[in-house]
Amino acid sequence: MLADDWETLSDWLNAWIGANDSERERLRALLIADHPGLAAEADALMSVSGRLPGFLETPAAVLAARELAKTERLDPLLPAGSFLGPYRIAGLLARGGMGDVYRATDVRLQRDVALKVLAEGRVVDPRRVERFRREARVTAALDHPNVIRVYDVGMLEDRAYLVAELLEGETLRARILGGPLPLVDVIRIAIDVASGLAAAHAAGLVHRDLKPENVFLTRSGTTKLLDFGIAKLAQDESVRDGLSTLTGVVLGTSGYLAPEQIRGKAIDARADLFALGAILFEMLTGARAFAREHIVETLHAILHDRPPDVLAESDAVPPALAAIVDRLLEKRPEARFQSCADLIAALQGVELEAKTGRVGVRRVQRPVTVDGGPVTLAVMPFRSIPAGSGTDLFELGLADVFISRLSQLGDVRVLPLSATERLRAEDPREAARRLNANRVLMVTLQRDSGLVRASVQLHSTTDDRTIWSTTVDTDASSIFSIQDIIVTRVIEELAPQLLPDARRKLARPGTRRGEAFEAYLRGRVHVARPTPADLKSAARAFEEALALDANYADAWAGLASAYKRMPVVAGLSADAFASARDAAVRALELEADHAEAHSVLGTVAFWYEWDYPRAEQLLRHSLALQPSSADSQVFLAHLFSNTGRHDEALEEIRRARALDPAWPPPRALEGQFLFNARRYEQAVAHLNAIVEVAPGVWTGHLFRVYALIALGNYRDALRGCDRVLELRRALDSSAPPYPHLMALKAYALVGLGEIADAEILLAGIQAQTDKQYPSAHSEALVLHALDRDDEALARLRDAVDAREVFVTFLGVDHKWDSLRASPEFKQLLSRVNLLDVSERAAR
Amino acid sequence: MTKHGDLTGLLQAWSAGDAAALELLAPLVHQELREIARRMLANESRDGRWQPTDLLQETYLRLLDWRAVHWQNRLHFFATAARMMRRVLVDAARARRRIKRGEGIVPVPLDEIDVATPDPHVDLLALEEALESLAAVNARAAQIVELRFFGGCTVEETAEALDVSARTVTSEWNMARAWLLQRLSEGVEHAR
Repeated sequence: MLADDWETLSDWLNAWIGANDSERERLRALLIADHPGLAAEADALMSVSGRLPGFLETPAAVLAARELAKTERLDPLLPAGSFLGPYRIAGLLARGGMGDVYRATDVRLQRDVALKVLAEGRVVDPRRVERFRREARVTAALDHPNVIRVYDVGMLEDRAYLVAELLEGETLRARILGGPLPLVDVIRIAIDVASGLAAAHAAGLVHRDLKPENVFLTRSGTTKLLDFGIAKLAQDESVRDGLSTLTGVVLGTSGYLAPEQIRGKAIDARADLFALGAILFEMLTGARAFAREHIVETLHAILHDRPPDVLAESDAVPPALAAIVDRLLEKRPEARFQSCADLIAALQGVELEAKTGRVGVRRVQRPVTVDGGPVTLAVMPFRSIPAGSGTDLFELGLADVFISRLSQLGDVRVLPLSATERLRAEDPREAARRLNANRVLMVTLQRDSGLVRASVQLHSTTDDRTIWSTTVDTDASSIFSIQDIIVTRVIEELAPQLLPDARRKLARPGTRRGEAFEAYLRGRVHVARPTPADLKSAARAFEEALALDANYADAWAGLASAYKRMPVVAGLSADAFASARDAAVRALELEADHAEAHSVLGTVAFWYEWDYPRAEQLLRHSLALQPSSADSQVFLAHLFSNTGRHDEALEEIRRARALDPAWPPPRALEGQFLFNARRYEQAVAHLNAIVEVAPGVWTGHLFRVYALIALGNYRDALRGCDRVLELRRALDSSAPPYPHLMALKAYALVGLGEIADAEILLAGIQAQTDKQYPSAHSEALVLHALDRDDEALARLRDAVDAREVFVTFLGVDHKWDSLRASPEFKQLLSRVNLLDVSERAAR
Repeated sequence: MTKHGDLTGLLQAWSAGDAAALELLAPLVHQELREIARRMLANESRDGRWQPTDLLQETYLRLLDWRAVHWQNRLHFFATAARMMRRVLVDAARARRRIKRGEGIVPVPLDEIDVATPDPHVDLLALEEALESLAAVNARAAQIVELRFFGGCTVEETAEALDVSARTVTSEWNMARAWLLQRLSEGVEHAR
């Protein structure tokens, strides 16, 4: 073929691919008229064009790896109860590229240990074995509280293994998933890491692969350095890194390599300090210092780009700490701190500064004007003066406490924080107007050496005037005392007839401990966010408050809410429901009418106890106590939807929407309820509108995937799955596991006939045996899609045993329709009290 | 033990016709592919990531010595990566065929070369043959196939590497694939 012919045919073929049938006729005629000699070639190309989509589109190496993945998943794991030498396996802790980590018991010493077994297929790679041995030697030589302890290393049954102390807690990576860490934690962790590194450096070692994955935070609050697998002696002339020599380093997380490491120059302890700088940056801002699309770009950025300004990323960072980060991230090693000791000294200076504060309550001014009547009140997030000097803790947490207290008084309609938070950057008066609130409460906080001055303004948007304003001064540690004063004054102005009732309610047991209140506020800020890390931080904060004041009903209720949200919002194990129930009961013992505690008990009765009538009763009671609780309303609607009461569900969710019409999550739920009601077309239309106006709300995309699958539109469903993944990742920077989504993806792939890919996803779900994130229902769903119903039912039974949240959808979800007549399935349904619902759905 | 740093040397030796270099090179590539495979599984379950092409790019970075070679531009880097993958996979496929036919001694043990048939729908050896013919007809089109299929480059990366528009890459890619498909179907018919 001549070069010209190639070009002619290429142009022609591409036009032909993009054309419709009638145009194609014409295109062919034109070609033959102009180039009669090419007719045969053109016809041949035409005849194969239908097979073009997909051909060669998956890279060869990915195809090869995919084939390998199929054999890989068949590799037998060490099952629980089996032995490797003297180590009895209790279960899998983690899987990774290097190998699997098990929880095990050394039966000789009856000691629980972590057992890492090198992943090996048929090829034994001496480099990896050597890396293992080196890790053991090096770590064992360092006897330091901030370095993990290694007990043993060796080869058993042709497997290289390493035994280390069993740590309970989470990696720093997991902690950072929830966003920036509190300042005190950041400083403490950084000092601990620097101390562990100092020990290594003193022994002449450079870690070389420091990153949040290798920093472990134990439950008791100690930080431990892990994975000295590629550590090397600094004096060794040959300590040079090129990327190719960093075998086993996961380059995907290589935002922590020092520039001299990337360049392959000689490195020393200062390379670890660079990595620590990148980690500090991430703890403070929740974002990576050198985040780029591609690895090549990340490496380029480390070499050439300045990291973003920490102060611009986060307003809660003291400038002295930002300066430390800058210095650690200097490109030239000689410009950084020269030793861990220098760094620790600098960090301790900042720590001292962060801890100072003083005490003393001062005067309360008289209010100015009075007004009354039925109102809708918007409490804006508090503002700090000067701007940027405050934290979410006070700006959001305190506002939320106000909202919750005011909304318990009935008659006064108080907008949820979700509404006002969204508009926090706006002028408060304008924001209130947009939210259709006729009253807006604005509070600014000004700090001055341990004192806090709260300036409070109640403003009427109907006639645009300030109804009253006041100033309350208090010291930072007793800031809780201002809430009663302000809340009472607000009620006095808004609805004086409620005052006697309000006084009684306000007299309820709160706390008088400043630190307890502060911890409680912190919990409230975290509990409103949907990530596992946030919910765990919330639980920790409430526990802290309770450790200081065990009779603090609000903190017990907060703790209950945090636990309650873990399975539903964050996909964690349903065990948390039992803890939620215990905490809610404690709250009710202290305060019988606690609305939030009732709400939690109702939610638990629904998702966990499958006692639907009781759930309804408790949720309704909670709503009577606190009419504007969006949470209770949403769960009541959910209860209706999952039990087949679709019209009531839709009515109830619309009522929840009315509290804050623009807030997308309840509107997205409405789409899910339409799906549950099998009104799929309507659900898709509704959710299309939502993802259009609120493209960042991942639940909207998720529910849309449900409906698309129901309609058999698997291609769009797959695209939707990817969008959900993206959004969850953006929310979390590296999102938590979500087997449910993998299952939906696999389900859609089966629909498209892509069985092999679906099976790989299934293997992925199965490989994740992490008890924290239940996946039996997800597995069952994929097995069911693959027509492996016996296995599906077995896994479904496991899901019911584990009380996974998703089993409460079994009564309405169309995906199970073909099993509705099966006795085993019916038996499962009657266990979750949904048999009647299922039978209605089947009709 | 083979040091990773020698890999570029091995690659050059192999390109220059030193068949023995394959013996050292192929297991390393194979090992990396296994690593990708494991991480496909591990990542999928742990944090929902599913980007094998990212992993691939990472593998190339690891295999191709960053230090010893001054990558002039992305073309150089991607082209080398693609060529390496092509050679390893195709050579493994050849070795496998020889074993099947029971010919002579093979350079790599059988159980290390199951990367040879990455896709039952693509006969790698037939494709290789067709690709060589394509290079004679239109070298750039063959290069696009090498970068896209063996190098795992996106359309944009390929365009950047070859300094042409993404549109050109897309239409050449379509034409090249149609040409190859047609050629491969002919092969099947001849075989019958």
